[in-house]
Amino acid sequence: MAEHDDYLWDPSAKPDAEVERLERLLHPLAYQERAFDAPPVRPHSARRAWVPLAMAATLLLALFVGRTWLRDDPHAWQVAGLAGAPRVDGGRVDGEERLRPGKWLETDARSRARVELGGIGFAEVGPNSRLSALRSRRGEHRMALRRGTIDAQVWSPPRVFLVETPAALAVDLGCAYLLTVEDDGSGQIHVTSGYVELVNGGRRSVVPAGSVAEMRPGRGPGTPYPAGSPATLRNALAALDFGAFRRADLDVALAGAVGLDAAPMLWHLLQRVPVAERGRVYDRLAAVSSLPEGADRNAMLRLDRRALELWQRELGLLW
Amino acid sequence: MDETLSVSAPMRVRLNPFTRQRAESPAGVDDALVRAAQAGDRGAFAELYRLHGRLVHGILLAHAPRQEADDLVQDVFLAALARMHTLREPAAFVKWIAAIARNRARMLHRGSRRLVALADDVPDPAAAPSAGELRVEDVLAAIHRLPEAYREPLVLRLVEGMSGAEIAERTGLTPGSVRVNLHRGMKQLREELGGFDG
Repeated sequence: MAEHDDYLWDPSAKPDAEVERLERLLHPLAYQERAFDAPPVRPHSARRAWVPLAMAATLLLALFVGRTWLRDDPHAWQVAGLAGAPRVDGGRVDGEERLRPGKWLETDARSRARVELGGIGFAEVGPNSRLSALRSRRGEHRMALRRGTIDAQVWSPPRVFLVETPAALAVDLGCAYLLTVEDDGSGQIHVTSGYVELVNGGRRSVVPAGSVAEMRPGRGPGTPYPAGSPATLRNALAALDFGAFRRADLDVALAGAVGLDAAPMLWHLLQRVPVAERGRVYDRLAAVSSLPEGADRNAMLRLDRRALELWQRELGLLW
Repeated sequence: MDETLSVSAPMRVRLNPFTRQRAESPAGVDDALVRAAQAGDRGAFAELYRLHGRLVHGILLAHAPRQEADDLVQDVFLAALARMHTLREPAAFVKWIAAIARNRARMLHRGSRRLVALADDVPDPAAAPSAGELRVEDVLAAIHRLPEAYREPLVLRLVEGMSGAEIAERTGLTPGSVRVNLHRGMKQLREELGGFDG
């Protein structure tokens, strides 16, 4: 359709009756600008005048109410038991307890706990889990999950909440996810909202909502695939990600890549198969998603960085 | 020495020569405003709110009930204001605040999925339409049932009145993909609404 005829694209084009009718109907929902009600800010000169007093007050606070101050740190993590007898550094959690950096939280087969992540979200810790707080400060909340499960919901800006596992670092891009680590260090993430970036060494996977990715120690994150994919597809991807390349595994993966949900899987796979196989992956990717302008076949087969980014953006995998 | 850059009437934001030089494209305007806001200039932040409020509202409306979207716009910008210092690439502000908006809407949706369904999907008996008549609640509920890739472009186009080119520029998607998503989304919306005609 020519651009000047496409009213859906260009509201200055010749109106389309159906689209126009929807516009009229939906108009009452449109944004009504209101003044931004920002918290008041003290003028700079006034702030400067109060600096000595503020310093003195801070010192007094540190000297006389230090314990209270620590307890009220807005970035501190708090642990509460949800079931059984979760433990922090061997001691049973009674009521609510602070989880300080360096401390370990452990649950047994009948225990569960909830960690409030300093105002940026929370993580429910499943049975048979062991995790440690590494940092809890403004701009960075980091934990190490050595085994077990966390069900995390985070509403901070991207890259503030990070989880180290033996196989990969899970970087929250604003989301909710279920992360599992097995005793051998392998793991799996199932993202239910937003995105998570998994990184280890040179390998990086961006896992969107509705997708799952496996992880292996020493190999890093695997290719994300749609949740609910059949075992044949999962096994083929695991073989491609963590074993020696076999064309038969790629055949299975390509056959199982159906619909737009499979596009992120194919985008990752394109960069992981041997050069001679990239064309097949590209063709499947082009079949399930629209081709971004500037990301032509040759550029994609060369793994041209700009072309990959264009397609990554097309799939919503880039912030 | 500061110069004054008019980014929109009536508000005028004071920017130094360095930031003024960068503020030539929309992303450049964001860059300059974000740097000023990070330095404590509330006027610059208010201008970011004015420039991107409509986008944030459209994103919220694509995911959340209509009753919540208006209030959440302020919440999203307040959350951004509190975390401005964490934004490392000022030119990426629009993507960043769009992500915050999506997260807020999703968290709300997760917490009150049933309420969302009630708010948007259940017809008001007092306002029962005649046969063939479309109601705003029905259309919004139908949009909410579409795949995520289609929801935002359709709301930004049909509700917020943005052009396809503007949606592409604001969301960072390519014009080609916005056009495809608009048309595929419209096709599915038509099917959801039972093939209504004008």
